[in-house]
Amino acid sequence: MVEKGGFSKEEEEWIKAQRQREAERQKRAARRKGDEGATDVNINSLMDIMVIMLVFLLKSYGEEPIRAVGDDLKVPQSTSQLEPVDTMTVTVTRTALLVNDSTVVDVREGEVDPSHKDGDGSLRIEPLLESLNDAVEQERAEAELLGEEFEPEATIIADQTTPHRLILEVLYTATEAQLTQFRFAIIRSTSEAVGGVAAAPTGI
Amino acid sequence: MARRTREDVNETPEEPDLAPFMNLVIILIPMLLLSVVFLEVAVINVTMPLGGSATSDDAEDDDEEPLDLSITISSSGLYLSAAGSIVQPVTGCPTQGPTICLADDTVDVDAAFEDARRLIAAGEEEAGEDRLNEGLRAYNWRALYNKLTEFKNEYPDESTVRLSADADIPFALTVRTMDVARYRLEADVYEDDTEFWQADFRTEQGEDGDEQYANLFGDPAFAVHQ
Repeated sequence: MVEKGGFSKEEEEWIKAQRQREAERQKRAARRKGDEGATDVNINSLMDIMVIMLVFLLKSYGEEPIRAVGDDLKVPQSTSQLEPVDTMTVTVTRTALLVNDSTVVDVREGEVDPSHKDGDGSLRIEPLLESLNDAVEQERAEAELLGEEFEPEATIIADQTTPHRLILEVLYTATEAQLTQFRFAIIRSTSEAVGGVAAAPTGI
Repeated sequence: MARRTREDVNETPEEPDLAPFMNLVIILIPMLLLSVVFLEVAVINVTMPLGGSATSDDAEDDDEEPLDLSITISSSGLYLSAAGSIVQPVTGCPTQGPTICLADDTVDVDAAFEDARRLIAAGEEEAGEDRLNEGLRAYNWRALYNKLTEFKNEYPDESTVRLSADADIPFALTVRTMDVARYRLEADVYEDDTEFWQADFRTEQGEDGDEQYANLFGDPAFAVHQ
């Protein structure tokens, strides 16, 4: 018994215990070291959230059919509940008129330069009529290719401060281009919010 | 020991792999968040009749005269005309003036709209919008609604309203007019502004049996005065 390694039973036991303690200490140290790398675990869950958000945001980014708010554009709020339809668009910002997102003519202080019209009293904006005619032609051809009936409709995205005169000019020019049905893009809101009763003091 | 180090080496490459991707995602998310507009866009259907009245011609067959309602928006108030004649001013408004005068005649709406445009053009969007809303609030929308329900009760089948406005009236005001004229609310007459704006739309059974909002004058048409 004594010859084996020269350790007594007690000693052997002590060594075993010592080794176990050593192993435990190492494990603990490893775990502590692992703590620094434990961001690993956090990153995974964070990554999940981010990837989901990314997909969600990319989807809504691609879906946005109408640009309603921009540097020089903010459409008014309204209580209308109708869903927007994918049609050709005429955008009336504070600085320009756009047909399907390409600039047609500049707007200065809510007016198109009279040189683009027949005369001061005329409602027809010549450059707008031209590009609307082109757009209508294109839509008509597309509808024919797809075997659908051409709907002479357009969505008008106009800034909330646009003078009525300019809106009328755009509408009039659009009817000249054989469009008959119009939709005004608006930001959906509640009548309580548009009424602005909250601004008035109610209970004193 | 040797095996263990190899394992260690195998484990480590995962971390550096994630970092560039993370950076990309972290940059992409704020970018997309900024570009996404959390606003719900809806539309208002309007028509633009060319010459002639906006109301349908089939009304001619009836003995009844068509309503041919029209609202003209000016900076002093709203002029209503029905069946070819201008509607007399409602009680509380001066006799020589718009059918529905301003609720708050201390507000110079023309100046308000002018200021709003100037402020927004100068980049002070919020101040400009406040001024614009101030102008919009000056109109007596409650009285307009009360008057419109009167017409609706008289001509339940009419839903067209012709809109015209002075040249400088902002688009937001036209939209507000269409809003007030679109649906019926729970009551026909409102005496209090807060109550009026907080009222829910009246619902009715649609043709297909579904509940839908009761139409007041929900088909706006734009009139042209050359």
